[in-house]
Amino acid sequence: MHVLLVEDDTLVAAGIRAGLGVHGFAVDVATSMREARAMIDGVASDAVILDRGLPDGDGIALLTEWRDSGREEPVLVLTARDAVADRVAGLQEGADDYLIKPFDLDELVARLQALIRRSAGRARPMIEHGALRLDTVTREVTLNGRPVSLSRRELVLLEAFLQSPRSILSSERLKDSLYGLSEEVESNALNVHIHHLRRKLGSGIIETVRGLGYRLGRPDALGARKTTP
Amino acid sequence: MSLRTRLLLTLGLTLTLLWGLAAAWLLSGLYDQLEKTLDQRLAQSARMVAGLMEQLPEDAWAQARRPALSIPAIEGLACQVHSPRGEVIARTHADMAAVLTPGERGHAYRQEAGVTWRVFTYERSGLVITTADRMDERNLLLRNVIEVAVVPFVVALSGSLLMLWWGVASGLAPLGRLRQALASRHPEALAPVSTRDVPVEIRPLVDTLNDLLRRVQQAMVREQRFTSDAAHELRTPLTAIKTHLQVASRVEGEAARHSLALAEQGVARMVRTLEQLLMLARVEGQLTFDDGQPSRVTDIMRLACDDIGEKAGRVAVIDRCPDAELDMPRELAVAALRNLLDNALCHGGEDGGVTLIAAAQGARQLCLRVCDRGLGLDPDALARLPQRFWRDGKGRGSGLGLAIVAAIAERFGGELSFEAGDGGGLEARLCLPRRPSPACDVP
Repeated sequence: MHVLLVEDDTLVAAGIRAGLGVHGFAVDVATSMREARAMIDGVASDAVILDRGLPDGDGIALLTEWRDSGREEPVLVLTARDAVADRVAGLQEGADDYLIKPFDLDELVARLQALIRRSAGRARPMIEHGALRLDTVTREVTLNGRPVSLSRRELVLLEAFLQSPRSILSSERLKDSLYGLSEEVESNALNVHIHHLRRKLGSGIIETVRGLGYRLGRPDALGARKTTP
Repeated sequence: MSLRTRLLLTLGLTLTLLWGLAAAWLLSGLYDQLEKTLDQRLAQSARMVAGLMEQLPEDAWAQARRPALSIPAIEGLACQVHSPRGEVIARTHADMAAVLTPGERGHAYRQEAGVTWRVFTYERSGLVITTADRMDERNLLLRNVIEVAVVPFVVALSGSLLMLWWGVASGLAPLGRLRQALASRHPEALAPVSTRDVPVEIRPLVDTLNDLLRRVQQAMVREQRFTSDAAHELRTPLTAIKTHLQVASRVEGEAARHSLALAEQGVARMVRTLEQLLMLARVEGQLTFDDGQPSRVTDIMRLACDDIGEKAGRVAVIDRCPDAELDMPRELAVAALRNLLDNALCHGGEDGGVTLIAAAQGARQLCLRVCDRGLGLDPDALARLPQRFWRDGKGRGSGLGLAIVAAIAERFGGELSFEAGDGGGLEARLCLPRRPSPACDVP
């Protein structure tokens, strides 16, 4: 899951980035409205965390701008001001949620997950795909009721596929979900993670669409493990 | 007691009392005058009868055994004439012997068969004439006169009282409306009171009230803004601390140590902001700072440079007034200068030098000029520099340092200003009051 964090205070941004990193989010930080504008076009974000007090203006202005231009990323507004007017303003301008500083890291993660889940059109934290189940809160994966152990990156990748079951996801998009803009990624890293997922969940879990990217496999194609000698 | 009741009571009672006294005076005068007039009439009628009787021939009543003359009676009036021998010569009523029998000469009251008469006895040339007037006739006349005189009196008095009530009520109506308007306001409402229909007399009162409300509102907006800004400034480092601590508890090894180090950075920042907030509160409050130490400018500059630590090496000090002494506590002068130097060193470009010049300004002031060699600021930013929590876009510092300097300058009648420096950087100019001293070397 990729999150764009718009926050001018470097200390706070570093904290949120590290905290979300622990929970498997890839986070990119923009420290001003100008940077945020450039980054939202350059990376596919699943959610945006927006601070209000930015050096070149109020974050709400940026939100209005995005909503006016048709951007639909779920936005969680962070604010250090708790007056009702401040909170309402954000929601009225198109924010999906808000948190008042200082917040609890778990709460931020839970709210982000809920936002992403809702924007994918699901009400429950459980994603089911045939015999495969992913609990987005506990991060547990089961296949035919048996738990499957996945690495952090594999889990993120699987979640990205399960969030948009019928879409073709490009390699770029998948890399954004995994690493964000800031990490240098080896060219075959994505292939390695996809290979691991196929090995653990069956070769049918992810289909390769030549020239375009990858897609989640059909539910009935699951569990067909490659018979390895 | 309300103004209205007091006015009504005072004016109403005074009016009633005065009109009552006037009426009593009038009535008693009327009664005396009427009695006198009627008595005179009674006497004149007796004299008239005497005059007529006198002109009768001497022998008219000399013949004995002549029956007494009878005069047709007039309602309420009686008359009887006695001869010098005491015989009744003529009379109007035969049955009023008790009243008309001559007694003492002059006026008297007499009663007969339950009726009171006013009697006048007159004697001329031996003839004794008695005339009598029925008192109830007189009283009836008096009552009629009183009725005619008193009714307009009562009508006028009640009319006056009504007009008084109406006048007071309508005169005080604007006050009542004002009271109503004030009473129906929300206790925390600070909107101005409407001055429409307010009489000239209480207009200054309402204007003063509105002025006060306006100032209270401004002060409240300022306070709310400050509280909100302060909360914002404290919450941000608190967020950093909390987040980094939570991360530290979820990771291990080097990553955990790194998070803890960042949390400590947050703590340091928070401590600095808190200290500056407290300093601002103390400077703006009533606390005294005087520690009895002389505020020599040379000492102040040295202490301020000591406070900023190793970066002091970048400060070039020019002291044009070494013996000058400021007329303010040394601690605050040092704090103000340190904040100016901090600001110049922080924003004046990487490793750029800073010049500090102390020079006298007239006989009463000493100016400390801090010039950096940074990029300077645009005029809009210059004006906002001393505002609380304003900082340049890079988010460095607490945004309170220069606000504290401005507060210190204001408290001691000094002045803080900023302008573009000669070398392109920013020049901060802090002028503070100084004690009278030998003339300095004025450049």
